[in-house]
Amino acid sequence: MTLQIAADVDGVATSRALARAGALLACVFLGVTMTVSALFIPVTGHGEIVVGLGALLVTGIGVVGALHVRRFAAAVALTLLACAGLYLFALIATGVSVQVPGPTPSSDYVLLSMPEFAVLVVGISARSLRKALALGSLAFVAGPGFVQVAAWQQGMPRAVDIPVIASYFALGLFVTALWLGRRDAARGTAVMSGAALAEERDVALERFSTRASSWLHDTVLSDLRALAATEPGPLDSTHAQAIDRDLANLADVRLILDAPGVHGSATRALVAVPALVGLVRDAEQKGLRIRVGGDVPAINALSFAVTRNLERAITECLDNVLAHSGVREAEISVMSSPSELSVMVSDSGVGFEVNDIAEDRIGLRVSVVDAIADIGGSVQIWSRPGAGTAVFMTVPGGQS
Amino acid sequence: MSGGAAQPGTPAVAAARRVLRPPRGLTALELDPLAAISARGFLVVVAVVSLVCAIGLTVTTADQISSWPLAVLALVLLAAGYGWFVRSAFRFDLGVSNDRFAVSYALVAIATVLNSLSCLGTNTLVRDDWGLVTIGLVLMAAAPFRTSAELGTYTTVSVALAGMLAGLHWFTSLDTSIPLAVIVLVAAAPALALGLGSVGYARHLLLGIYAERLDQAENRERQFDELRRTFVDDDVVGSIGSLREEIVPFLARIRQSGTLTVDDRVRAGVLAQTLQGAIAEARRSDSLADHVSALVDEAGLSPRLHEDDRATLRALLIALNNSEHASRQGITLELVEGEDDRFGVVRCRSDDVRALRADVLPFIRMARLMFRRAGEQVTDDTLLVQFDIDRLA
Repeated sequence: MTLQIAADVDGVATSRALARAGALLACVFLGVTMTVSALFIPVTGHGEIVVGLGALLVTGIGVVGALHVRRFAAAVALTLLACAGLYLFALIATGVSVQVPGPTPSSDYVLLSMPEFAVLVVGISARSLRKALALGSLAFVAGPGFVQVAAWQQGMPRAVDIPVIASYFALGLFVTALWLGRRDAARGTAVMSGAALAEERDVALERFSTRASSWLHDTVLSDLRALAATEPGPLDSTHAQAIDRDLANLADVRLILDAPGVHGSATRALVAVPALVGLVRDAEQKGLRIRVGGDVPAINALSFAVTRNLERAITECLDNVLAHSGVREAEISVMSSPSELSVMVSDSGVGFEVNDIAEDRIGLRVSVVDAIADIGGSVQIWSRPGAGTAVFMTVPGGQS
Repeated sequence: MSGGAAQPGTPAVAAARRVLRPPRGLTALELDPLAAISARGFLVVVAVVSLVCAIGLTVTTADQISSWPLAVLALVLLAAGYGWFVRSAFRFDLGVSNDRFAVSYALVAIATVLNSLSCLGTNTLVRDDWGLVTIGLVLMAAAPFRTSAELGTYTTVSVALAGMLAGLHWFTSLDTSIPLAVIVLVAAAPALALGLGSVGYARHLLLGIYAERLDQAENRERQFDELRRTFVDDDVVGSIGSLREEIVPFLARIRQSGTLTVDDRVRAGVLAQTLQGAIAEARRSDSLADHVSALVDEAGLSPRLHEDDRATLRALLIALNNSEHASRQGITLELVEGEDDRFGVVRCRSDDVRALRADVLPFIRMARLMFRRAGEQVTDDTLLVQFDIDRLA
């Protein structure tokens, strides 16, 4: 969990997602209607159904277009186009239905209801609740409304289509619920993002300040004290060199801020790889400094199960660095190939004899190896006393 | 530099942006926990609509029901399925895990089967079976909570179930004038449409939020660079910036002359003393105190809090300040370190505490997400938010 949370403050991501969802939903209903209608061509012998299929295609184009365009006027125009297509299809479908021998269905029959459902979704991706409801209402009147007109024109018995009316109201409720919730979330997110940025600003300034203070304390202040304590007379070479260094750094303090640690947590760098954020942050909180390198985003392509076990294994490795290496720095390197991904966790600590692992270091051998073996991977451990440790884990699934 | 090759704006973010590839198994809500507010509201509405639809269709098509016990049991299971789903969504500690959603989905699926069986042999119109709709609606409600891959699997199951139930009715019906393929297509259409819609929504919402996350990372990097530039250009450490104007000429003169006089020794001592004072004063005041009338922190916890926890607290304090029912004068923050634990309390006086609580509820929820334990309490004129502090920077 980190406050580097992403958020759809202005609703763009939600609108696009809703547009995609609405388009898929409409395509299914229209596709099923087209398929069923096409099946009736040989049964009824009415070739004009083909024109109806074309009208449904126009309806689909209108609905998908209305869901994706940003301008409200364009969305209205495309909604009307979709409704016009639906009206033409309804004219043909009801016309055929009344001509076919046998009982005539009423105007709420399923072949008309399904494209009506498709048309009703046009408003869900609009960027305001008012526009969403307006587009939905327009579609309701011009879509199902004119289907009833077509049924009346063709002499088909008319019936109130309860599922369509219920869907219209349900969609209105869904959109309203989403918008009201999103409004609250957006308000919260804006404040939260502002607070997180303010916090990062504080932390960064504190780091700069600490680093500069520390440098000044160790160099300039120390040299001034040394000068104050020196007997008058010619400067010796040590003092001269110290003054040269101080003058150079005081002229360009950027050099001071380029020191390690000033850039802060490695988790800031892992924003694109959420799987590593938690474990790196936990390790950092325990006092470990971590460098992360290599093809880090490739971890995102791993399956959920592989990622979970890899996280467990890396966590165990970092715990071992903290507990046994004697150093407070570790490095995570990621390498990927088309079929597999390798992660190496290394430190430059005291190391150990791999074939003589003590009971208290059994975690490295058992937890790490078990976690990786469970998902079909392999582990190699390199270590020698005094030469650091490297754990090389390879898991299936690399670059996608 | 920490982070090495994975700095934002360079390889990791750039690579992720080139091929927008969010991690597998990640849900939109895991990236954007605040979206849970709208997702929960949406879920409640879907649940209500599903139950109303089920009860309404059961009543209006009562003449088609052959087994009332099965029909009633189906409604009970549907309510139980949504009840479990809603309960999971509102449990901050559990959330809608795959296992918990599987339980909800299973209950709704069983309800669908029972609904269908309750009118076996007497079913005249498959389209009137509410189960065929609710098994799709439950997927729609799950879209923000679960991954597109999982929803794809559930959609396949829903479509197969709808198809099988439609086939069952066709074979047990005396009227087979409508082809089986048509019946199956009509029966499976709602589940397929709503299921695919939920897959598309889950996938594209995650992509959109992931892209937003990368944008935010770049913004942070820009802010960091800007801060660094300002720090370098304007100042070194507070008042030391101006001290530089005295120290540099002094050191340059001594270096040029190559000789240290008695006056120089005295001057060096004075400058050293002034510099030491400036460095000591360079410790920045705690900016959290800017949002409260009193910050009680005897143990000096505030600067040691984890930056995420500080940001959460800051957001809560900003929200309290922004509310028309509170003012900075009425807000206090107390941070306490005991022998075994650390905790904090935000107190906010208000004339209308309940309205204040409603105003800041999203931030109290966020505090619950960030701190292991956090809760609020309303007294006569004060809102208290308590939280445990488990981690320090």
